[in-house]
Amino acid sequence: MPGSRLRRVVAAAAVVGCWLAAPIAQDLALPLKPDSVRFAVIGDSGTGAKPQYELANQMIAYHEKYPFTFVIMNGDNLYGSERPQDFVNKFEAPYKALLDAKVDFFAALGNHDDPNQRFYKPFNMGGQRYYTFKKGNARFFSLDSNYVDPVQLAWLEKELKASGSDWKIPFFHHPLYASGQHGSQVDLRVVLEPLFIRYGVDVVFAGHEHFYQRVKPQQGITYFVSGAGGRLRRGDLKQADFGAAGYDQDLSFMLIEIADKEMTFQAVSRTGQTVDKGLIVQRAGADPIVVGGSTPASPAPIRKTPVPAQPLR
Amino acid sequence: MFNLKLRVISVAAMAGLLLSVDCTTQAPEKAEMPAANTTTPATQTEMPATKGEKPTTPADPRATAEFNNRIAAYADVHKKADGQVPSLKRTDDPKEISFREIALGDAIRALRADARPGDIMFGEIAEEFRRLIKKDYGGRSREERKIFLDEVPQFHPTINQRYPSEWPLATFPATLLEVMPKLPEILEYRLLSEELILRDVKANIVVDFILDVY
Repeated sequence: MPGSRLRRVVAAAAVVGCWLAAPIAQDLALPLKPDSVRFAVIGDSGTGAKPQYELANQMIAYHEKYPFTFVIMNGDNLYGSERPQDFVNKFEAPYKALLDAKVDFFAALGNHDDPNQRFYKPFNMGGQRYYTFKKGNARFFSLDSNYVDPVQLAWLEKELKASGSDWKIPFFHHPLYASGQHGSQVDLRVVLEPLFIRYGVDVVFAGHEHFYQRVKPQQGITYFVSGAGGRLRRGDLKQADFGAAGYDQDLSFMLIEIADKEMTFQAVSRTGQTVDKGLIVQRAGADPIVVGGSTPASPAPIRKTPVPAQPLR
Repeated sequence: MFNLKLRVISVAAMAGLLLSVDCTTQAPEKAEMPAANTTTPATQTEMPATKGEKPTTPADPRATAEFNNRIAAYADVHKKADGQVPSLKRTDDPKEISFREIALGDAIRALRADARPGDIMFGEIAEEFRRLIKKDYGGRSREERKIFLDEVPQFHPTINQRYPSEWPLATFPATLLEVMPKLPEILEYRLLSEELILRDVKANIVVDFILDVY
């Protein structure tokens, strides 16, 4: 069929063109220690629009240098309609190269996600709205922050208590600390933070705000917002006492490496710039040491004069 | 027929992808589903709420008991409908998720075609819910109210309607959930701009609603 042949030629040309124009990972700030736990973090990714694909390509480029084995998704995995083709356009197509490379994705539910996404196997939710899994010496807790009822809280407490892992890492959609349009989710903080403190949570990842933000350790816990995987609210990052670093000028994702008592992190923009990087060192019975800072080439200031936020819709 | 329609939509979408591809992604020739993960199973997590558990709301115990009875009756309808359609289970194929969700919604709609607002959240319990929400809302600062109403959907619901996917599911305040009667895992409370709704999670439909909750 001439039509199909033409389509195949167009597709092949597009693949070659993309390969030629594929971004090259510019600067890897992770130590690549043997047997380390290696993963990436994205949030608010599922738009199906060109910027999401561009950031995904940057992740793919970094995967060449830093072969992370899984990705955690901080929610809003599929914006808008959730027809079968949306799962393709907003997830399977942009991350195809990673999925083909057997990189696992572990999703949390955002406020734009139909909870029935939990039945979609590539999201690895095990049919549950909240779940836990272990990688190396780290245990992850994917929470449904849209609906933290007493049943979920009881489950979380049980799982945290039973976790003997060195690193305890919850991830979910709504940030307990953030200085953007939505702000810190104080309601959630009231119910989650006491558990996090009591059971020795180390690091928390969230999304919802469409930028990157690192928060100064709060009662020994380091919080990250990584919610610019597909949508950006440029200039939305406001000055906050708890802010340690941030970036709101482009989409971004994170790369993480855990080796023994050290977690190294790197936040990367759509153009491949490192916008924040650092090290978190666990210390028994004491607050962690967090060493971090932006690279000279791409400063990550907290903006003092925020630009008016763009409406979400 | 429905499957055929889905296939047509999928083929059209893939054709669109092929023809509109630019240098931001590789063009898939077909919708390739990644292999199911078999190496990192998620652990079993959810614990269904037990029917008839003592609610923490201070409503009249008789009203709460009646509410729990009506919830249990709805759970029976849901179960019956669930038995009429292929059950929603883990799959690589998003078409199955979409198809089963819609089929379950249709089956429930057929079984409760005569349902009216207030059938489950009836007078006395509706008043109690309004009191709880207004008390919570009224006790918040301006900033906290802003967060409370953040991205609350603006549509007005009808019974048995499919929850529109263009609207987010507004976060239900965790502190408020602590004082609302527990629901079985098939149901959840959600807030809209003026209403409290009961939503069937698996079927994605509005089961009941009450007005004037703020």
